[in-house]
Amino acid sequence: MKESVENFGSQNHLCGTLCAPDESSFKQKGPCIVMLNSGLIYQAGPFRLHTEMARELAQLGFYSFRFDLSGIGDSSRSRENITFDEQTPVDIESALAHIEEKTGVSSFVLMGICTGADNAHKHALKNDKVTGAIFLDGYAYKTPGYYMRYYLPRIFNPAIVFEKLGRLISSSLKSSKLSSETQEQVKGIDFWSMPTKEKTLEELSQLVDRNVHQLHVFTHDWIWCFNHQSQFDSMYKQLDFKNTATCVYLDQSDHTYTMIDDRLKLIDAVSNWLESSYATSS
Amino acid sequence: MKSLHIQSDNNKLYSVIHRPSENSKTIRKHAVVLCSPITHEHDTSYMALRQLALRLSKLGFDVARFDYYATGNSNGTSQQISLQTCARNILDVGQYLSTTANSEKLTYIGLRLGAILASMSAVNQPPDQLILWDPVISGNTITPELASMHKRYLEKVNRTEAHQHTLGREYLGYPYSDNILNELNNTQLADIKLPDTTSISIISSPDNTEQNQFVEKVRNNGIHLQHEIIAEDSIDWQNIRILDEAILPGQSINQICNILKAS
Repeated sequence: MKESVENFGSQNHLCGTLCAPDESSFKQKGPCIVMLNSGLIYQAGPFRLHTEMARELAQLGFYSFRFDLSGIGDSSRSRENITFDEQTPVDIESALAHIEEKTGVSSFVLMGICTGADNAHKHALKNDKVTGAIFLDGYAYKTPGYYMRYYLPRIFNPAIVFEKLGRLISSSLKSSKLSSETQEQVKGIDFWSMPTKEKTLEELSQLVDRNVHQLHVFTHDWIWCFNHQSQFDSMYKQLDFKNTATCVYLDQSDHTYTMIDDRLKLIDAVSNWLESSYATSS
Repeated sequence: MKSLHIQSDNNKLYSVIHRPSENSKTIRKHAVVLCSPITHEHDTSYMALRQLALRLSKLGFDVARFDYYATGNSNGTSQQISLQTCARNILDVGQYLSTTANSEKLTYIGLRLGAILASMSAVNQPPDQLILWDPVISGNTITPELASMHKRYLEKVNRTEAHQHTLGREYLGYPYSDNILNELNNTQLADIKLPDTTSISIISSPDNTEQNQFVEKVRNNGIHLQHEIIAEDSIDWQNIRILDEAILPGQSINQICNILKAS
């Protein structure tokens, strides 16, 4: 395994770390896994998640690239007079072009948590060289099964019933009195505006048509919109993924994989998915 | 701002160099090494150190930020972190920056545990200036504080029972080997013999008894020390909310810039 720091972009203002496998383990037709920022966390990822995962994937023969978008972590702001939303796809495109030039690898898997998953989804639609995507706490839509699992325990829990009654009696709701789940929900909505399910279905179907491999991972912190493994199949039941999509539900983990065990489980899930999705590449 | 690897003990340290910006009126030939805390405090303070580096480069300083061996984006697994190695890393980064900037002066700025690490380095190779920013005074207070925070974190996420086995070797997302725990327990800022040729400043949070006692002790030993208390930036480092937050202590950054401009 060998790591190199790369400065790139139209103004050389972007920075990332390329992690290359040893020649003996390198998968000739394997993709490079590109790790996108989650919020404002720099390229090493939360609790070194990206660093640790990159080195593990190199052992399996995969290249990876972790980098900072303009103005985040150790990349400077671009001098272009465009918004952050407009700049992001330009930065990702620069990263993919730079990797291809450096390594010759022209197939990419985009990976991101939350806003990173949003960016991975949007960019996967734009570039045919994106052959896979790992969405960590990405888009999800509530189903009858979600509501059942959410409300049933509350109906049979007197403490929660009284809490609800109290709220009905109270003329105003103050955020400080909201239950922790509701606060989580509000917090989740604040992160981004989730696209409509119809739009997501349409876009996922485009990815399926292009045979883009997808790994959707959800954690406990996504309980505001996702709360059980089989919800994935239910929420997208209209779509035939043609075996391109896998869902993993890590029901104990938090959003940033704080505990070491959680990070190991995620790295394991990603490794297994990559090996099975790109099995013929070695 | 340019990222690169700097060699230290045959390991590659992920580093970011900020040269004096084009708009700075003076090139000061003054190298400044920022010494971060470790583990979760490193993550929390990442943006603050970037902000400080940008400000200093605009004032004409050459600045280096970096990840110690076994931290962040640098070589090594998290289990391999050691205070001795971190202190050597500071020396190597200081050497690199001084040489490449052709500087005449060298300053270490250490935040929290970074203040202890910068002081350890200063013993071996005294810099012209040492700024201790909200320093950890006693390494042996860290482990109980970490244990208490970790316990509160597990309670918050309802995982106390399932993660009982992590107590004592994993704190707030990072592993702590016996080696680092021993090093922490046996390190006191007051025990480090700071060089009398170095100008020393301490940026302190208000009502911090430990820091005030340290200042008094150093002064009693005849060492001149500038002490600045910044009330506006009081940070509760023991609050587990810090795991989800990035600190941005603007007044402390201003004060550090003022100290360096006056030097």
